[in-house]
Amino acid sequence: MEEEIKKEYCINLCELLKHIEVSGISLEQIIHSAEKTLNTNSISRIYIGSYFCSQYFMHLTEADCKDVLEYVNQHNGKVTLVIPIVTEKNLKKVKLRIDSFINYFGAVMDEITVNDYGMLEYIYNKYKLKLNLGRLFMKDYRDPRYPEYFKGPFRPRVFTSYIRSIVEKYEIHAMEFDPTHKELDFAEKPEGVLIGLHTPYCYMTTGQICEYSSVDKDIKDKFRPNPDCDVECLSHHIEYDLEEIEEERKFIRFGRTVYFENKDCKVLGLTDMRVIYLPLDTEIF
Amino acid sequence: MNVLVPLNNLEHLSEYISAGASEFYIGFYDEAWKKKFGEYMDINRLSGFGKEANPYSFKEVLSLIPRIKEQGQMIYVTFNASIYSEEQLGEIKNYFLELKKTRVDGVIVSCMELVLLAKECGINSVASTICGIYNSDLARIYYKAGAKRLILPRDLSTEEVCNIAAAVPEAEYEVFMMRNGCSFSDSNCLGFHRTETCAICGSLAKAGHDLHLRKENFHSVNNAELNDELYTNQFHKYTCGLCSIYDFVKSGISAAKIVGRSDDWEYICKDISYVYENERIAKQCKTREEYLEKMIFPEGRKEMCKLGLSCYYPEVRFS
Repeated sequence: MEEEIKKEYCINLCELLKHIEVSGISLEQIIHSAEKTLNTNSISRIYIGSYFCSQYFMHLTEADCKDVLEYVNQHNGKVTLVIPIVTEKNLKKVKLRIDSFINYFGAVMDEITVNDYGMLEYIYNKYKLKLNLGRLFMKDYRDPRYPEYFKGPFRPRVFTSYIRSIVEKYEIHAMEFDPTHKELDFAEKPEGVLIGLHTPYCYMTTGQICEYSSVDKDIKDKFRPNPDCDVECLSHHIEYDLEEIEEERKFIRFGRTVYFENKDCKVLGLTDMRVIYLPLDTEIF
Repeated sequence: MNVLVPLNNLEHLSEYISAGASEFYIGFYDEAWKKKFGEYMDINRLSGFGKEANPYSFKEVLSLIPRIKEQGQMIYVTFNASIYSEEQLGEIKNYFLELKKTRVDGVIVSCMELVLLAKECGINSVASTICGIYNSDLARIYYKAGAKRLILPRDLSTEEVCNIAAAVPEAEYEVFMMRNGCSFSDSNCLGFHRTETCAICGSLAKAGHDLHLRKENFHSVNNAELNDELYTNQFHKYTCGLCSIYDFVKSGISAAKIVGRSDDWEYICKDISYVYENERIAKQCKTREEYLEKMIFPEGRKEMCKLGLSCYYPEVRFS
């Protein structure tokens, strides 16, 4: 009999929050729709910011976050700020934006997810907030084109003694994973660390070059790394039909990142976990 | 700035050196590793290409090292899979201890664990592009951990490369130059690179796909479709960074890497000579403009030097 896992449900509005305004749907509706999909009535944490794109992170304003602040205040919720890997030219600006978001949200923003060692060190030294290791730290291959590998059960390789020392040194609260396989076994996780699992999409590849930000640029200016943009990701996405995949599985390019759908990832080795739901399949998109 | 090239064909070592190569990198295969950890657990990023990308066993690599050193060249061994388990790190320690007995110049590594392990074993480490050193904070952290050289990602601009090098000048730096471009980040591209299928970028390029726009009119659809066509079929088909050499030389970048571990040696030789000759020209020039006037262009200039789509660092020419 499958072990019952106690789940904390969160909604991931990273790279999606600005979509709310253009979609004309309210945050309340999106959360309600997500709760229905997840079969819960207890989404009480909202992730904002970006895992993959510093341009998006810098474009996000306090005005974009107004509804989130209201919602968490009304529902006794919390906010997690997610910081992407930032290239040199944006490092100072992103640090200023982090400060603004922390001031704006106050106590309801109680944790930060970082995605690289540089930002981990910076945030740990500067702020007294809980820290999570984000999904970009977890670099196991994920590839449904190889069914034998993809089916699992797979034990993430990230739990090395070095990562355990990082968890201890930086007092890491949670580690976030993608649904990389059909079955994931977290038996080797460090004690006391909460495991967060992104759902229903697994990121497969990403980078600093953004297809969408080039749409309206001259050809000679297209496809530059980490370009200034007009958040063209708000109005474009691509769905792919990969010929190597036998089963029905959606591949999608959302922002700079390509994801594949893996909504039925089975989790082993945990008694409690966090579910981080990305509502790409709702009316927002 | 040294020219660093993949050594997959020892038969042509003298041609590589004559063309201007002074540093080499090499990966290896190990049947015992595969037997122990399974088919999908890479020793290096191109383990999935088998002997096409890693033609030598570890034992053979150990015997190659003195031959490279006898020629006065530098040699690095690659351990750049995206991640390793604790048990795999233990196995790599055994490789490092064997390499320590040779005159190897260093190991190219993909994670902090291996930087620390190399230090423990007394070997120089080079933090590969898989480490994702996108800014000076990260450069400082990897250098302090023990990485002697840092390979900066190919999706950084020339200015960012030079600014990182200026911010953390105590480290050596290596940049990408010539051959296979990439539309994603080496550090977070987590599909397999294997012979059975191409990399995920190749699968996406071949795949049927639907472009969705929030608001559709002729111009928005037309622009997005043209953009997608250029991105999918023209961007980084072959990649060159020669126009940036002046900036890199002035910034003290230590090495320019020519990728292509499974590519034909003659093409690699041509690329070595372009980089080598242009590095010499850059050293004699007083300004970037002078260099851009005097530099040697690649043979495929007519097709490649159009619109920046084949440039690692297009901003130098197309700003």
